[in-house]
Amino acid sequence: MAKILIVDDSIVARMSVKACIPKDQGHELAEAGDGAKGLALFRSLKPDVTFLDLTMPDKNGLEVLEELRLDFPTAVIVILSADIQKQTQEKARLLGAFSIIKKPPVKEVVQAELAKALALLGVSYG
Amino acid sequence: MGDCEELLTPLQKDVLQEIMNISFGQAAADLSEVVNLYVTLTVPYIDLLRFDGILPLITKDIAGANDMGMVKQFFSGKFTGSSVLIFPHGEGKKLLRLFDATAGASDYDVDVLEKEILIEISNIIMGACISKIAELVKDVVSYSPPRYYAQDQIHNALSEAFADKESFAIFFKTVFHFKEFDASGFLFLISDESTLEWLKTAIEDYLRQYT
Repeated sequence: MAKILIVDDSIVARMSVKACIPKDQGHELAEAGDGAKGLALFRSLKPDVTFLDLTMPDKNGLEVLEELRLDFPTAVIVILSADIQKQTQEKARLLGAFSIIKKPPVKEVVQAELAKALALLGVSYG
Repeated sequence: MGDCEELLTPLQKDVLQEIMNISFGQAAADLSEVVNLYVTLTVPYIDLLRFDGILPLITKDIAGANDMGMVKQFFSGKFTGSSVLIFPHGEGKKLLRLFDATAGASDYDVDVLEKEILIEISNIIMGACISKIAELVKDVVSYSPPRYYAQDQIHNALSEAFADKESFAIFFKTVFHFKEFDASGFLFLISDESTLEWLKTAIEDYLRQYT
């Protein structure tokens, strides 16, 4: 099992990510409704994988990503965003995003990225 | 500010906001592909308000409301309404650098070029945005050609469009910021109350896939 954090200002966006994560693998899910709460929760929870939105009020996802990767260089952060401009994706990659998924999330895509991330971390589940 | 809480639940409002977020993201991506403009997006704002509340809300946001450029387009399907893209004073001229001087841009009047560039940018943004919303709520929409309004025409056009004081408008707003050009545009989507019941059903359908 893995600890998974979802950071998004939209309730329905968080619901949609949760719906894509397999229920039978015993993952522990946590969620935050803005960037600052996401950072705080990350520091206390130390999740294996984080799904992070970019367009959020106050502290946006790129700022959160930068801060997290400075403090936790090996953090596995999957960007899940409606901002699908190439330049945004390049910025996210440069800041160390593990991968980038466009919204709305598709179950197969989320599960594939999660499986890749967990394989990289050597986290067993099931 | 509005009556959103009475007519939509917080979750329904959140779904609409997320649909807008995805749609504006698509619009920004299309814009960056077609005219090589990188766009910074703000979190969309959504509310339900009376039609006579729209004009004060639009003009409150934009300084120099009598000296701005505006492009307006109607869309119709089950989701019907108007999209309005407003560029504050001078923003259109900043975007003229998008025209390559070698492509003969210097042969044209600056005001004509400004109008053309605002129509082109608006057409891309509005088309991508509305098409994506329609796709997400399983609708098909058709569009009227975008129309440009300058300065003194704007107030009349907005007043006429939002003169129906009795009904509610579904009001969406986002700000596009074109970083390299230091220019911004305000996008408003306005649909009337008759769309609301259909929209609520579409929201429930959208939610069902995640529950």
